[in-house]
Amino acid sequence: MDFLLAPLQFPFMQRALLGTVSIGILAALIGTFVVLRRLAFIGEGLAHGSLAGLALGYVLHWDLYLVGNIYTVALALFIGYLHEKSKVSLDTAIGILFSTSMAIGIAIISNLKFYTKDLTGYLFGSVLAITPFDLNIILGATVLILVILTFFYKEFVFYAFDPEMAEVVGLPRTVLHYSMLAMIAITVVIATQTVGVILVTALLVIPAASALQWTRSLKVLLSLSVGFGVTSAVVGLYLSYYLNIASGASIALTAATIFLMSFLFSSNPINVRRSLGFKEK
Amino acid sequence: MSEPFAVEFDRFNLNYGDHEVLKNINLAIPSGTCLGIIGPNGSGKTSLLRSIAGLIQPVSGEVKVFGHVPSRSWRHRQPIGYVPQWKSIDQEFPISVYEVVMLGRTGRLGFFHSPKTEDHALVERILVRVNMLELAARPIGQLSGGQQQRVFIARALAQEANLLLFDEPGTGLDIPTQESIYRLLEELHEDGITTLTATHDLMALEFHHFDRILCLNKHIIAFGPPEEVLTPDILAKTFSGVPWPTKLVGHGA
Repeated sequence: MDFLLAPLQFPFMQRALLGTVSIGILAALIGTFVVLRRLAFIGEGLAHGSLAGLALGYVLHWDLYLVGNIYTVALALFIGYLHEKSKVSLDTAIGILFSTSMAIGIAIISNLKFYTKDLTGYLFGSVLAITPFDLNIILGATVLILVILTFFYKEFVFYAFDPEMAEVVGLPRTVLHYSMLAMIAITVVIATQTVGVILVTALLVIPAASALQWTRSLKVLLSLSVGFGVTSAVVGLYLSYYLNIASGASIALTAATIFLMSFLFSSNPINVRRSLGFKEK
Repeated sequence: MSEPFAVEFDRFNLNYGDHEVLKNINLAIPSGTCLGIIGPNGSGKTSLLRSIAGLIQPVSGEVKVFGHVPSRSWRHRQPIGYVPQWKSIDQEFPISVYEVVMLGRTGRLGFFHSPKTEDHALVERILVRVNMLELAARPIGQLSGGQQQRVFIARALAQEANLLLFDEPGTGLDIPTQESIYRLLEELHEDGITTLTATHDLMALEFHHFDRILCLNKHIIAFGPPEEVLTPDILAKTFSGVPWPTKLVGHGA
């Protein structure tokens, strides 16, 4: 018991725990839609593209993650827009914009001599550095997205399963599409705080992919995914604390272990193809 | 519906890029019609249905459904049922047959409302009607193509629409399933529901008596009761260059 409670005497550890759990829930929920809509690449792309937003926040001496959020949401909407308005596939649109955005970020950083400590935090996650203000943003975003998903659950499910028929039924397909992109962007930037930009995909995709090994019911899938996300976050955080490894790595490795267990012990091997990113015809 | 016409096209032109798909369509389909749309592949049947469903916009002219332009917000209140041509769906999407049919209620329910007892009762009745109740709990991806088609028909029925669009509903299905689909069309006709059914398969006319036939090949070749429209001349014009079963030519006339 002491083993679990001792670290929590530190306020930064309390914030870290609240923050990671919150992010674990959020990433698992949004990640379920990401996996179902096969948007894993967009999570990765937005995470890397957010570099420019964070660098911008750094230059302007504003809150990194607030600026990063706004910037990345704009980037996500622009990716969606480019895909819709030009004859460019979504993958290609992501490829073009995330690399461009990341290049802008690198240009700013190389000019500025970013403190390496900040950069390491950004790349690998620095969960122990979450400030009370950061925590408010994390909790606020999580509550906001939870409320949106709860109120428009059936609409988002319809859109995810069959966007064209959703439109026939009169649902605002474009609004749903862009809202989903915006929610993915916010989730990605926020998750960057705990797992870092390189491992964001882990928190976004692995819990949902693990849950897909066990069930074909969407509600069970969402609950399992959240369960796995929270477990990865909490176990990862303690591993990070006691073993002194970057939180991003320990959280991602815990998630990966859950996936491996699910893969080995569930009797649903078909889903492995999707989890690995293969597209069905 | 008190509106005299279910669907009206007025000088309707549709292009994909530079390619003309539908040319100068003028057409008024009376409410309650059971319409068969025939024409070869690429004749614009699917585009015609998609235009009615509000999925594509014309370059000029307009289409009205029960007297209204079928905008998105209008469709949200006044459903148009659409059963697209069967296509391979995401086989692994975690959604059951029952849940897919319930999706059809989304528009009727409106935002912020979840299904009530009546909605569940309706979905069950519809599942019985398309003979899918025993499979209600199955994930949709585990069904055969014909079964999936029946689920999508059920979803359209769950919309309780007064206008239903079917795109090649029988294609790729076995004869009993095709027969059951055409029996369903007859029942819908008796209920006063307008149905528009596109098919490139003239054999469909063997199964089912449509009360109007539209011959389409980018523009309207003919529109009227089957006995007037299904003549060798008109069929030859519609399917110019496409062989058709000779047996049918006498049949319709």
